[in-house]
Amino acid sequence: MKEKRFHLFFFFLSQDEAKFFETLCELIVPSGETTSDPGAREVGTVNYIDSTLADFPPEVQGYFIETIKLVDEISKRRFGKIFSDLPDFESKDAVLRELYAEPKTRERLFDLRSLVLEGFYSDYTDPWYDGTTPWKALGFEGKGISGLKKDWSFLRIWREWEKKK
Amino acid sequence: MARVGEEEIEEMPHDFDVIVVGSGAGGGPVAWCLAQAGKKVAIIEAGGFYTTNDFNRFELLQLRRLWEKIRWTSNFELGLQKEIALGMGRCVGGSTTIFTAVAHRAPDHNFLEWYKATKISNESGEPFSPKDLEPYYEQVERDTSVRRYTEWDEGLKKIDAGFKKIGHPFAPVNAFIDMRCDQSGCLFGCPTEAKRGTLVSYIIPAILQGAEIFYNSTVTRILFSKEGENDKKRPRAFGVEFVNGETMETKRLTSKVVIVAAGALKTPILLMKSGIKELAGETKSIDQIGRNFGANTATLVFGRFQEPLNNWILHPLSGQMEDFSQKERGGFLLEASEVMEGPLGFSEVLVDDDGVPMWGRRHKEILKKYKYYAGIFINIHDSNDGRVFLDPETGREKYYKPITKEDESRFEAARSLCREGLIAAGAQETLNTIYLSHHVQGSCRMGEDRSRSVVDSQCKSHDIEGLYVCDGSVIPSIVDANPSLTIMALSRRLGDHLLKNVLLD
Repeated sequence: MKEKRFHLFFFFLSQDEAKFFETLCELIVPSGETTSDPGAREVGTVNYIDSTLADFPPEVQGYFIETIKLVDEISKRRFGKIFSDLPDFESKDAVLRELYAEPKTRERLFDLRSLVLEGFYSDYTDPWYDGTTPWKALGFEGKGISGLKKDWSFLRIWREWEKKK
Repeated sequence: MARVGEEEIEEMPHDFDVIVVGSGAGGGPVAWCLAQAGKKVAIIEAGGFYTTNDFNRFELLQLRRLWEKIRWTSNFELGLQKEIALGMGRCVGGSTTIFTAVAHRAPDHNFLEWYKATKISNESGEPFSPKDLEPYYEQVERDTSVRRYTEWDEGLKKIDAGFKKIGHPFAPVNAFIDMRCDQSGCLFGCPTEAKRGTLVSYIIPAILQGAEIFYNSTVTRILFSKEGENDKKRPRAFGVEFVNGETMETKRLTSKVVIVAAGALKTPILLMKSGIKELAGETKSIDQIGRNFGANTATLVFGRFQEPLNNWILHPLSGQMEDFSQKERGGFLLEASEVMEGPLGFSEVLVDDDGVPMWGRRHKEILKKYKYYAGIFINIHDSNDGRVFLDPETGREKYYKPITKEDESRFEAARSLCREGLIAAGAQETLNTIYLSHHVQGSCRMGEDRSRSVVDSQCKSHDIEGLYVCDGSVIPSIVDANPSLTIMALSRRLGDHLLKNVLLD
């Protein structure tokens, strides 16, 4: 599927960290072959992750940055490259499986995975995204809430978007 | 508001008769009971104050507002492989704002187990029995409109049909739900007030009776003083210190009685952080704080059916199958049906055949069939062999709750039965999930045996005057039912005890 860039800056993530999460997004919820089957990369899950991390307390931000470094260390030790430079699904998958297999880092795997799943499978929609939403792709209709205006102002990306409008 | 130094406290009037830390199943009923009797009550809650109009179905917002971040056990430090995700509410009403509202009394055999565990007794010194809690169960069931919930969803009807074929039909649960239920879900707060958790049944009525609530406020320590003669000094709780999460202002409130009802994960941590050990010394009962932690550990089995069930539109867990709930008969209770009220929760709990959390293409393909799934919750009768503690090196909160070989056999027997029942019901594929718990219990147990409990049979600390604990942590051993009704009944009982014996003026 054709990649679409949503916006040019991040509130919290560096370009390298954003690239890490984009790679993670593609691994956790891969892109489909058509626009009606988006993956986490297309719908802007990395923007959700950036906004979420931006408003986390510093110690939690530090925990995630440390986790990125840890994943890159596993990746370099096993494949000689950082995670976002790995060429195929198998090698990236192997790195995450090692993160899970080591009991001390298991919780970090759940936390990374949760960020992507939250950005993709929740009711969240990125302000830059106007394609098929994940809920629509799943045929999930929610609970009769379509008449209500959603409020995502707890995420910095939506606060900025509202200001721009 | 009076600001007092610890040394002055004996001479100062108290701000409140009672401070209740926590507004969930343990805190709500006692707060209301005392407030309606005219006592001056303060309720302090770490989470926010959200009410019916706030409970829309936007799960991301509600997860942030109403739920604590999931805590994971650190069983790997014991050389064990399996971890448990521990979930709880963080809002006014506590976990009863986001629970699935199953309201069952503890079965009679649990009371015998409680007595064996801690020698818990009634006012006459006899072993605590079902009849001692019965009047309080009845009061809570009236207060919270408990009824048989018979409006089953399609998923449960199918599951029940399958289980009937294998000789184990489901029965309707009792639920804290009145007739207004529109089946729009439970996990993100009830938008109709049909769910009668403590928020609507006790906290708001308590406020209307004059209780004061401090929300977004985290209690950082209980305040203690010494009292009595030099050689008979016994520590006394006289208030709490808390931080308002919005203003970051630290406040102190004083009271005659402090009731800690922060739940089985947070209550022992608060007692430890308050320096209770340093103050009261290393007594047997102080050493029990955080020990005997039980989780009533759960997992799920989902079945994929041929036709869409749209099972998110329902009150989850409307039926249960208790043929194997007693320890001797298998030690697991089944409840259905459950699909986590949305694709996010469903996506998070799935594991592959090796028990590894799922991601990638197969995971995504399963999610595309979300509307075809119905699931069964398995709760096992596990042991009170866990521990809640502060890591001596890092000061971080930690939780051990081993999944023993016996527990694994229970899970395997339950999973196997679920698969059999789901296939008999027409399911084409079954899926397993992570281990999780929303029924934590037993980290500050009640009883008369000080070497095995933290508080006495009236929930009063063995070591500190004026300090009471009332939440899931006081339950002496795992209840073979969802524990919230039992916690509420114990809370009502504590209110009665305080009015009759402690707050007499």
